[in-house]
Amino acid sequence: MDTPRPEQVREVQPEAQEPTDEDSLELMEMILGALGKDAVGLGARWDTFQALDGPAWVGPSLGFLSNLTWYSQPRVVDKCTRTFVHGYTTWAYFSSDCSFSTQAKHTTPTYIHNMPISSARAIHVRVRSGRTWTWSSAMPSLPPFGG
Amino acid sequence: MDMEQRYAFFAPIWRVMRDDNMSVEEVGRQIRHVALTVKQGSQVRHLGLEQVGWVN
Repeated sequence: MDTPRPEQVREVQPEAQEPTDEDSLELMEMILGALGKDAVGLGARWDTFQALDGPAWVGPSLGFLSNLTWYSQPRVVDKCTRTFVHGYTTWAYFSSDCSFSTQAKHTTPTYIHNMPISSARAIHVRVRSGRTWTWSSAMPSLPPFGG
Repeated sequence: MDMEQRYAFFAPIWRVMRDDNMSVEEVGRQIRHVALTVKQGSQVRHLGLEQVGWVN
């Protein structure tokens, strides 16, 4: 599928001595296009790449995500969403003030599907803001002050 | 944007790709070198399959 069509194959120019700006731009645009807008930072997932700018979410009201440090602040969400931990699906509930709870309210589950959350590399949550869905990622971290 | 600004924008990606913390000028030099090499078709991998002769 990566094979170009015949009309996409350009004649070589062995006698060329200097690349034009268009040649350089084409090369850079090909690489940028292969990486995708998300990787470049121009896509809809801009929040994923402001990893360390988000606040550290601690607090008992945040459920098991009190053990997590959000890559970025989740947007205002008012819907039950799916979460993925270790590839497993569970359900999470967000409210408009970004508080978070799982199905087992008022508890702090440390295991999901018999896997400790602390061993998860990242937790990806599908969140909705208005009509736009996006991914928000969280990364396990130790509680503050070693608690 | 002039070309220097474009190279500066692209420089972080190129540094990761090449695993070399080079300057923007070096990034631009290497980009131009690769672009010229592709333009000249001086290496087989730059040629289409028809030009190589693998397909008709």
